[in-house]
Amino acid sequence: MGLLNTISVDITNKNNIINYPILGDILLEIQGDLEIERPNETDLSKEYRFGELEFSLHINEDQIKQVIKELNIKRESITLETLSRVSSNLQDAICKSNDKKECVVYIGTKQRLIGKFLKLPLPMMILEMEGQEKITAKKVIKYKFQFVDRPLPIM
Amino acid sequence: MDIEIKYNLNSVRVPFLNGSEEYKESESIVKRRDDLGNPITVTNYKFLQVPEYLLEHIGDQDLNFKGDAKNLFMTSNEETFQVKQNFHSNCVLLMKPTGLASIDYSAYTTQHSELELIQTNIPLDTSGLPFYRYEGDILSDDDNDDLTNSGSSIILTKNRLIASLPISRKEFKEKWKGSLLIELKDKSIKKIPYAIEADIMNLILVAIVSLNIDYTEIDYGLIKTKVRSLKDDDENIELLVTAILDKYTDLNRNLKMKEIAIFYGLKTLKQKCPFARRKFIDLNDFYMYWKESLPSYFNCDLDIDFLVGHFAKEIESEKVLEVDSKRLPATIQRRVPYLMGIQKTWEQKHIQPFFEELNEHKIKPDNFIMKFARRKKDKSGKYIVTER
Repeated sequence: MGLLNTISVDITNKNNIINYPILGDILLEIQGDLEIERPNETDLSKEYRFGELEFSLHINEDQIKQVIKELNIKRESITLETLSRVSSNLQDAICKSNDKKECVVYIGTKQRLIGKFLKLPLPMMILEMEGQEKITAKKVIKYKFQFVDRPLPIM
Repeated sequence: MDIEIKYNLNSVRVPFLNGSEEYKESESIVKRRDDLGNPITVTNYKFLQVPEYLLEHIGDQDLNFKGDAKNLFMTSNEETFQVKQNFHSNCVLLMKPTGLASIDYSAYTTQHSELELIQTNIPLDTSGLPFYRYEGDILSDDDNDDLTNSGSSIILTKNRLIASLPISRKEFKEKWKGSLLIELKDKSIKKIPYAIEADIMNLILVAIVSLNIDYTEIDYGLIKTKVRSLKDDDENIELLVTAILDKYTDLNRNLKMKEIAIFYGLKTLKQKCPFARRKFIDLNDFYMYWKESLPSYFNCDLDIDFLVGHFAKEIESEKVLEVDSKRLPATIQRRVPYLMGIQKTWEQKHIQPFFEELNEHKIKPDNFIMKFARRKKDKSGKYIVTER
């Protein structure tokens, strides 16, 4: 019997690690390799823009009523930012009603990809590894933007 | 109502995009160097597929990754999973919002694989654990050669053991009963060796007979007191009795008669017709020895078929010989000729266990035997296995 090395997973923020792409981190999956024009920049930590994602999030009347009730705000002030404060059940419901909806990503100035907002078959936990000793469960993602089609030109 | 979303997608150059996520030993925080040679620190990420039900109480879960060079396991409070890494060739970017407007998203990792959890149930492996020895009693010097005994400067406690086994806390609790492990006063875990198990078992059965306890109403307390009076030179005797009774009684306090018969049967096989000596003995003689090995007045059904997988029986003369499957060749190609060397014809039910151990692809037992040997029906309707 060999004894195993053990690392325990540190679950941060306890119950609050469940996160959704439209309201938190997003997962972008593009079939094949993504070719990006790289700017001539030597500073590696400096960010550059490589594309744009367009998606329209639909919220039905029932959900709007619930959001208004939960957050005690006016209809006009419902934005993405306010939505991230609603209960996780409602977040779930909103995401679910948008499942398989179309989204578009523009890469650079020439390419356009049409894809879908999809529920992951199994929720994905993002683990942050620090050395051999520490693993932290950062967040859980349930949806992704998936692009499987060929890129289209931007006209 | 529709909310139009426009995200700006950003990334730093390397290593997030097109960067390798390969996990190397002690290199997860790699000091990479940029074009100008300045070191930059990178954190590694992994994607783990988690079943929905596990997320429900994720805050209360105690998740542990346990692994060695070959395998990686993850345990939750109740379950054990094997972790597999699935590679794909897609470009997967994980992006997080930056800036206050939250329309700017920045990729912070790319992944070429996902970790998949496969629920497994691995039996508790107690081999290699230090053996218990009677206090102040050097039973046999052979045990001393055991590596785990000689390097016993670190005490192996229950918690340490759970942490280093691919088993969850709950499963360990369930499997503890009957595992013949005991936790001593100093919190160290010891395994009861065969010799002590046989010794204490005898005492337990003698106690049961002498106290006239019903085999279906096992009372731990009475037996402990009696055994203690029979053997008072070991202060852990009650622990030993409990561990052994746990193995040989079921939840309804019934004595597991078959297991006890098997225990003594194997002991008799080893003593009277050992594999190494190739000495077949008559089946009736074997039954006699078997009966003798049990404490007097302890009544228990004996049947040679209890011991299938541990002996060979000649079809005509009904003589038996112990077969120790641990000492058989480990590949089926070499094992079959070896078994046929012990005797030329086997009854299928007797040889099947030796085949089944090596049937890794779970082929139907009959077909698996036919792949490597000849199988036919004899006049009495029994299936006979012979060499091809």
